[in-house]
Parts: sequence; C-alpha cells; structure tokens
Amino acid sequence: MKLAIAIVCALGAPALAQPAAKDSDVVERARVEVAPAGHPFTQVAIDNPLGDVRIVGYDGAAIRIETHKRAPDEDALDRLRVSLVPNPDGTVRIATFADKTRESKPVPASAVRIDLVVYAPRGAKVDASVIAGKLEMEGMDAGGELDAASGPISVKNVSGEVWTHSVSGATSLVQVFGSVDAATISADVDLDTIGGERLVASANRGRIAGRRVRARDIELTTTEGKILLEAEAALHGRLVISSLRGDVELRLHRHGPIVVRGAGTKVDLGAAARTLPDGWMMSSFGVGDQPALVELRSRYGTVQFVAID
Amino acid sequence: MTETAVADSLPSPVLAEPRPRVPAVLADDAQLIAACRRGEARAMEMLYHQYKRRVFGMAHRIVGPNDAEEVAQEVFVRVYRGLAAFRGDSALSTWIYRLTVNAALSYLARRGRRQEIPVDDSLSEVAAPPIAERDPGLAARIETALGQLPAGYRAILVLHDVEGLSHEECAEILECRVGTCKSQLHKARARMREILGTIGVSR
Amino acid sequence: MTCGEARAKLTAYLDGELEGERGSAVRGHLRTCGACRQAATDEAALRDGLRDLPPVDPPSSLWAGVQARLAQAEMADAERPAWRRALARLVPSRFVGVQLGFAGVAVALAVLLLAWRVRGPEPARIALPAPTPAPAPAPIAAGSDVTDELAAAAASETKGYADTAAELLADVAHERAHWSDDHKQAFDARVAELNKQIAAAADGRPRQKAYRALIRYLQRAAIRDDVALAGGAP
Repeated sequence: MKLAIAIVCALGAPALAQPAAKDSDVVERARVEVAPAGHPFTQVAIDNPLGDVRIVGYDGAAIRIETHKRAPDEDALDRLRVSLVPNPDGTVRIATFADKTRESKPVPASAVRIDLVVYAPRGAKVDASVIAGKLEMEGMDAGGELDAASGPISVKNVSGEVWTHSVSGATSLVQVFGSVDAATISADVDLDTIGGERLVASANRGRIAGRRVRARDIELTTTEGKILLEAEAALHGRLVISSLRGDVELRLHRHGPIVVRGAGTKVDLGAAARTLPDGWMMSSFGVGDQPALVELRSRYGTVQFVAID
Repeated sequence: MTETAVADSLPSPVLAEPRPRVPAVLADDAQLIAACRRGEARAMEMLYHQYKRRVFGMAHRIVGPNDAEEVAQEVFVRVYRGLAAFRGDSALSTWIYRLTVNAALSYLARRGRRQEIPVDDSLSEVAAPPIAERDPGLAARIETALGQLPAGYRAILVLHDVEGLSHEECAEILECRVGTCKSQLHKARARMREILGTIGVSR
Repeated sequence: MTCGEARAKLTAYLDGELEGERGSAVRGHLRTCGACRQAATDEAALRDGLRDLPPVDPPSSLWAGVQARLAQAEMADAERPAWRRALARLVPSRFVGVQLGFAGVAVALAVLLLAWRVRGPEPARIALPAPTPAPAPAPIAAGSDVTDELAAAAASETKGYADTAAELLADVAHERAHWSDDHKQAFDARVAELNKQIAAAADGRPRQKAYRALIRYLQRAAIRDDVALAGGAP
C-alpha cells in the first residue's frame, strides 16, 4: 500500500507594501521539516532546475529543508513552488517547478530562482539534479547520484557509492571514501583525498587532477584534457590512466611492488624502463607477487611516471 | 613473629585508580573517527599507532605469541570497517578493546582449548606453601601461567592487572556488571596463584 | 573475621577498594593469621608481577598485514550482489528486526516551521551560498517564460550529449583503421545496441543517461581500442 502525500509549500505570508523598484526582488524563505514515521529515511531525491541545491548530512532522523525563493514580484514569486513527497518506503522526493496554471505574465528563467539547502540524515542515499545552479553534497554516508548541466558539482566528506555527471559544470570531490564515478563532458574534474574500492573519472574536454588518491581500482580517461594524478598504490591495485590527446602524468607513492606500462608520443617511466616488442614501455618497482598494475597511455600526448617510495 | 615484623610485611593495598601502561588516549576521538570513516590514510595510521601496543599486547597475552599478530590484524580490520556503525555510546578505546578481547576469545574458542585447565569454581583455600624469594624469572613464569589460565580469567587479568584498566572499563569491555568483573578478577588471581605455586616477595 | 571471609575480600583489599572499617578489619585479620597473610603477599606479588610484565611491541609487519586484510575485505565487498550491499546500508546490524514492510505504516509528517517573505535586499539569516548567475542556454525570445526555457534547457542538454557522441564517433573512425575485422564488428554491434537504448529511453534524464553510456564506450574504444562488451557505464 503506497501512500503518497504531496505537500506543496505554498507560502502565503502577506506581502510588504512597497512599490517595485529596480534590483528590488521579492525574497521568500521557508523552513520545512519532515520527520520519519517509524523507520529512518533511506533516500532523498531532489530535483531543482531553478537554482542551487546543497545537501548537508547531520546526525538526526528528520529531513529539514530551507527554501530560498527570489522573483521580481509577488505574482512571479507565487508561481515558484516546492513539492515535497515523503513515501512510506523511506524515500523523500523534493522538486521545484514554476507553476504554469495561473494567468500571469511570462517571466524569464534568469529572473527567478529557488535555492534549497537540505539537511538529511547521513544514512540516506542522495539523488539530486540541477541545471545551472550549484550542486553540493557533504557529510553523507550512503553515497548518491548528482547530476548537473552547467552548474558546478561539489562533493565533500562523503562515503558510499558516488556518481556525478555534468555537461559543463566543474566537478570537485574532496574526502570521499567508497566508490566514485565522476563524468563530465566539457569541464574539469578535481579529486582530493579519495579512497575506497573504485575511482572512475572521465572528461571529454576537460582536465582531471587528483591528489591524495588511494583507491584500489582507478580508471581516469580524457579525450582532450591533461590528466595529473598523485596517488598511493593500493596492494594489488589497478590504475589505468588514458587520454586521446592529453598528457598523462602520474606520481605514485608505492608500498608494495608495482608494474608500470606506458605508451605515448613520449614516455618517461624512470631510468629502469625498457621497451617491449609491442612498442609499450615497461618498468617495475619493488619485488613480490601480485604487484599493483599501472597502465598509462596517451595516443597523441606524453606520458610521465614518477615512483615515490 | 613480632608485631613490628608483621606490620612491616603486610602487603600494602594499592589505590584502585587505574595505572595505564601507555600514554592516555587523544582527547579528540571524534575528529579521528570522522577522518578514519572518510578513509584518510593519515588518520587511519594514526589510530593504528595509537592503539597498536594495547591491541597487540592484549592479543598476545590472551592467545599467545604465535597467533597474536593474526588476531591483532583481524581486530584492526574490524575497527576500520566497524567505525561506520560506531555510535559513540562508549569511548573509542573501550570499543576497540572490546573488539580485541572478543576477537582473541573467539580465536581461542575456534582453535580449541588446548592450553586450558578446566574451570574449577570451588576454590580450595588451603594454606599456601612456604614463601619463596621473588626472582627475575617471575615474569616468565607469570606469562607461562597466564597461558594456562582459562580464557575468561585470562581476559580479566590482562585487562585489569596487565593493562591497568579500571573495573568500570573492564566491565564495559567485557559487557558484564562491575560486580561480576570484580569477582572474576578475584577468582582469576586465585587460580593464578594455584598454577604458580608460590611467588616470592622481596624482603 | 574468619579466614574464608578474609580471603574473599582479599582482592578488593589489595586493590585499595575497601575503605575505613572494612579495610582495617581485613588488615586486623592479616596481622594475626599467617596463612592469610601469605595468601595476601602472594596475591600482591602476583598483581605487581602482572603489572610489571614487559610491554610487547607489535612487529613492524603488522600494519602491512592490516592493510592487506582490509584490501581483501574491500574486494569481497565488491563481489557481493548490489542488493546485499544496499540492504547492509539500510539496515545497520545494530537495528535488529527493522521491518521494511509497509502495511498500515503512517507516512511522515511534514511540518512547516517558518516562512517569511520580504522585499528588498535579504537579511543574512540563513547562510545560503551566493546565488550563481543562471546562464541562458539558448537565446531568450521576448516574453518567454521560465517553464519554456527550462524545457529548452533540457533539450539543449540532451543535444550537447548527442553532439559529443558524434565527435567521439569521428575520433574512433580515425583510430579504427588498424583494427581487425572482428574488432570492428564487435564495436559496431555495441554502438548499435547503445543507440537503441538511447532511442528507447524517455526524454530528459533517462535519455541523457543512455547517452552517457554511449559516450563512455566511445571514449574507451577511441583511446584504448577497448571494444569489449563489459565496458559499460551508468
């Protein structure tokens, strides 16, 4: 039995009587809290095409949403809606939209916005999307999926399975532990302090830069941009970094044995490298069975590898 | 014996305050836990270095030198993987020691109680044989005797006497009442004395 | 106090837990009873001996061993089916008996806490990040409305994905010259499959997701000649 109650927050505080002036938007703020009924919230889904979304994890059971609306006048403001649908299966859907049913003059997208800050229990999985606004997630433990068109994505202090995708929004992940998959079409990906079982990042036209990365299975790919990674090799790990036209540079702190293969227009794997019959260069560091495997390749760019003991 | 001589040779009670054998734990556990949860290598190493002596020491004295490393490894893995669910109901140290004792005891149970003497709850309060001098081999004999204690007694002795933890903390770690802890300690020491024969006291 | 009573209190006495009269009662008995005094002496020596046991230092290989085990455990996690992992996240082992059934379960209640509306520059009460300017993805016709613009934005986002896929296809065309026939066949088949999924997907996010899968596959093919079927992506 699936009960869904749509609670539409239409906020009707009386407007202050002031003549409309240039730069004088009407702003409205609200705070809504949803408490769980029995078992904890499992997922928070947020779709806000009208502005920013910020999700902050905290140690509590309820979901608290702060909405911040802005419009040129009261009529336009009244059209801006936030819908909130808690489901019995523990998921909560939050969505924004501009009401179209009323008779009011058209207002351009650039003149209105709704920004959301959502405080959620850390164990809830996040599913959020924006168009041009900022999308930020921090302090959550169950991962999630973040989607933006041109807005920047920022993930900080999160664990779990994290997926991010963006067309042209710069993507930054800091202190993420678990499994990461970050993709952009034409924006940079920046990674800082990533750990866990898997890190996959891809940019079509953008750079990938990473530091303090320590995942077991790492795969970074760009078509156009440079890849610059400073990482620690996990035991029996796997690092595959490749680009079509960008340069690839890896600085690797190693704790155990590693085997590095490289191919590119110019390859530098260190002094002990040798060339294999298939044209690849290879170098190994340390002794032991089951070494970490590193593969660096750039079709039309250079490859550089530095091992740091 | 004269009155004075008896008074001199009365064993002195020691204050019940715990005397930790390693430096006190860092004040800011919460920060460390949060950082470890995020998988920060430095924090995880810091936690390891902070607790390695006690974890390894407890494991060593409960399961013996041959298996201590394996048990200690298992404990740390459980610590890092269990941190996500750690709610902070107890101190971080208490939680870690509990994991250690549990891992050590279940390791013993799996391995079979080869070294154990069956538990005998009816302690015979016979008069002890004459006093012997305390000797440098005391530590070695105590360690051997520890290995012959039943596992439960071993745990409480290691926690309270060897590691110097308080009754309250021992009770939290062993998940029993403080009173139970105290009586277990009493029995454990009595059993140790039986196994050891006499231990001397230096004059 | 009998010997039995004294012996029973011995541990507490030696650990300094007997205060005042109770302690002195034990002490009094010890003064007069050689056997109990011996037991007390022995237990004190044992206590001190235990306390003075040399600390054992863990071997330097311990940390490497911990890391190796952690790694194994993580790899084992990766092998578990997704529903198991998801369930483990939903139901932490601490919460025994949480039911996920829903017959008659009350739905969460949303409480509107506060709402206020102002005109003019906003008071700095809720610390929200400074709003980013919303770029116009397509030229705005005079009198266009936000709802139309949003629809247009979604369409242009999808088009962006489609254009990228086309570019990458061109890159692959350049690279595939040296592929074997089998390789080319596998690639073509996979691309056809991914295109079918794109066409079948609903407008908006589902279709964009399908495009992303194609884009990732094309990247792999162009850069690494990787045409294996397992090169999937969300």
